[in-house]
Amino acid sequence: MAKVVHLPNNKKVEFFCGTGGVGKTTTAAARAVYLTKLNKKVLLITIDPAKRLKQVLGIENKEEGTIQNVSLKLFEDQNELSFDALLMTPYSTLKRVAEENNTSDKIDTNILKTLTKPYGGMNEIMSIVELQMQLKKHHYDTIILDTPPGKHFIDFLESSKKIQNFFDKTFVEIFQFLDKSFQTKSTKFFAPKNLITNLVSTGIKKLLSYLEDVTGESFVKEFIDSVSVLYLNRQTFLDALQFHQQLKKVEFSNWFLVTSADQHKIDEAVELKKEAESFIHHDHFLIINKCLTQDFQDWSPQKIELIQLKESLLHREKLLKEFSSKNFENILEFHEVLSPSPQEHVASLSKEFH
Amino acid sequence: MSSHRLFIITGKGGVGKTTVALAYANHLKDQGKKVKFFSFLQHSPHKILKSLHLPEIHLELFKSAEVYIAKKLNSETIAHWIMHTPFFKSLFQMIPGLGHMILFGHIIDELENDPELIVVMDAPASGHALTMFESTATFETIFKSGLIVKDIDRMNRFIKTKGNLLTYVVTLPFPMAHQEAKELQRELTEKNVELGPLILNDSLHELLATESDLPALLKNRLELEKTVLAEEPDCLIIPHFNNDSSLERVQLATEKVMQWQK
Repeated sequence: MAKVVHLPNNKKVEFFCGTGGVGKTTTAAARAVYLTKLNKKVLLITIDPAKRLKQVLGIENKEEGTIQNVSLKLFEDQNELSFDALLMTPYSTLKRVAEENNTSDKIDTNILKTLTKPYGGMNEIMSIVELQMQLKKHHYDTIILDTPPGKHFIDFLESSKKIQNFFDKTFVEIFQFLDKSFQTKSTKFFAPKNLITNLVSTGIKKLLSYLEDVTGESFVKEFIDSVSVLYLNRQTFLDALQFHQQLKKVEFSNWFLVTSADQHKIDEAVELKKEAESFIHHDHFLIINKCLTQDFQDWSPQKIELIQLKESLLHREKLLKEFSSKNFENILEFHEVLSPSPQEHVASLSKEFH
Repeated sequence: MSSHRLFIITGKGGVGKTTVALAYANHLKDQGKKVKFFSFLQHSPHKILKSLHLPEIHLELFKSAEVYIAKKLNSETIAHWIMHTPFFKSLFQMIPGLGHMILFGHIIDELENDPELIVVMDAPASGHALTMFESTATFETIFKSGLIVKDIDRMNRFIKTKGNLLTYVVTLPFPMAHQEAKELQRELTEKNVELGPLILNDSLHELLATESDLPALLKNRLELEKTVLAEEPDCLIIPHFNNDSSLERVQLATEKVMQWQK
């Protein structure tokens, strides 16, 4: 059983963040199983390009990007209950956005397809957009989000800045220069036609001609076209931007920072802490996954190599716990689980949330 | 001994890629090769590299793109100006593969300029190694002309020419992790990337195999390792090291690489 200061209350949105290999995805899936058993209506979204969830939930490749129903029976539960899961692909989310804004016929370009590939750089923005679209349906009690590992966690939290930059004024001036017309209600993004704009435009002309030397003319044209499509959908993106602020509200979201006792990664825990402070609210949880102390309690090996093994593993864990208790208020300690099947693994981790 | 010029060590997060990559580079250096280390991580292991006297290639994504454009247009001023316009900045943020491809181009440059040089690269699977290999193919379809296409051709030639590049996938010795490693190997093979044997890191098999009185967790772990080992008879096994110091762990892993190469 996990030792805790206080157990996390269920919230509207729950995030699982951490570096690679700490067990983020299985922990997020375990949370989904746990909340489903409490009769909550749950959607589990993964934006991890490694798509471990696919393996855990037995979802086929062709089902990526659409919501799938997952029965608790998969986790050897007798219950008739189930939850929804979405292996997010940025392109399918873009399709949904385009449908909302009647631009479906325009998104079939090479460049948009590249940008919305699993490793294409649109993951974070699209996940915020997807999350907001799902919340608008008011269909779920809780949406659990499994974020990509490492540096991408920051990218994820900074995606609002990316959205902002993307619809930056200078960017808009490029379209103006290229005489692209946007049939939209709002005109506030268009800079006044004054001397400065003209100067910028002259610069842009030069920039584009240089760019053409490097990348070829057709690329610049196609790129501008593709970006214009995104621009036509910009209201959806800007709504997501506003919504991003809500994620920081204590009553709205739970943040689980996942770390693991089996890795020499205290430094990364320090980083995580720093990042957490600047981006999320104070009421967050640190999960120390893969703890061994309890399992080794009754083991007293005789052989020197085994004594060393036991001591070194427990020492590593102790260091991480000491660091954590100094820096985090709410700590959940989860045991190491080794199961041959990912489903058994999730089932046994889900009990840790009790 | 192979005559490969570039070694990429990849695998999913937390499997110990950096330790393995450092050990591999260290081993090559011990063989008298001229080796440089390149890390895609934000924090490359400077301290250990220094202790091991392994030189590092310093390339920063944004800066190296500026150098690249300056070279193409024969002007540092214009390159600086282009890279600092919001338009180009956004373009760069939106297409991470573009930056990685440029980094990759720089490394190939270094290798072509110095025929003695060998580079060992520490590259995470998601995001980097795959983006890099994938990007040459995707950008070829996007950019149809322009200076960049010539470079893409050059990179493709480098990747596809046998004997230039060898990639190792590192995994933990558990069935789930092994499954993912195999999937990564499959994806890399589809992209015509030459693969070395699988590297199983943090193995307890040798230590525990003959023990009978183990706690349930370790017994379980041993069984799981056995199923992976049965499937991978030719893999390189790096055992679990008890040492707290990461430098010591790299040194011990270097010995394992050496024994295996023999």
